[in-house]
Amino acid sequence: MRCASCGTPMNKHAEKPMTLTGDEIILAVHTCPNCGKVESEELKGL
Amino acid sequence: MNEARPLSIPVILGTTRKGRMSRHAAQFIWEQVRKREGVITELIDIAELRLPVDDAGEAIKDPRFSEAVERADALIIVSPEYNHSFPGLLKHVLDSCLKEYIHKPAGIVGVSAGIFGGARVIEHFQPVLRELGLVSIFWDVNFGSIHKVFDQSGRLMDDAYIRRTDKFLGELIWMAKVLRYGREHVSLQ
Repeated sequence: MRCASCGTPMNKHAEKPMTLTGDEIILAVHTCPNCGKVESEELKGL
Repeated sequence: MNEARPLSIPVILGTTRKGRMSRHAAQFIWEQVRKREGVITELIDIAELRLPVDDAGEAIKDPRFSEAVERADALIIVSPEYNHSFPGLLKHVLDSCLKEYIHKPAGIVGVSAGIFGGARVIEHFQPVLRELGLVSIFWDVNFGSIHKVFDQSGRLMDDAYIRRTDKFLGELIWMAKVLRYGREHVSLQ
């Protein structure tokens, strides 16, 4: 994923689990190392 | 790390109650943050956000709040203790974001009329911070007997809070630097 603001490749640093087992991931979070912009991918809607 | 970009550490005033003494605590903390080199800050008053109360969560996200939290490298939450916990409207505001918080440190400033300095509200915050993806630090600022700490005009009457806040900010800024590096450079895989 590239930053929508500056085009820099973003760093994926988090996946948020929904369940106790961790089998369902609801969100992946990416941060731009250049400008700090945060983007998320919604992997499962609530 | 992009050292040219200053750390952003907003201070959130977490109550809307009329006559709130927490405003003096938030103003004081904000002034202490402003003195730190390489740090920018702003005071976010949740009373000014005016989020709707007929819905909740990310559906009512306020763009200004969302952008401020996304820019942030750490958060300072100033919260009074109401009935042993945090104000409901503060939780309502915090619940309006998620991705913006993840892997960022949060420091809590507790405020109370009694002697415990918001110790119980700080404890109540811990599971909430964790679920939001925020990282708790082990320094707090406890403003107990708040009417003795600030006068009605907001003048600080106990200089010990300058030293205590300095220690709290030292820890928060260290965590902000480390976690920014992690968010920006350390991949999950």
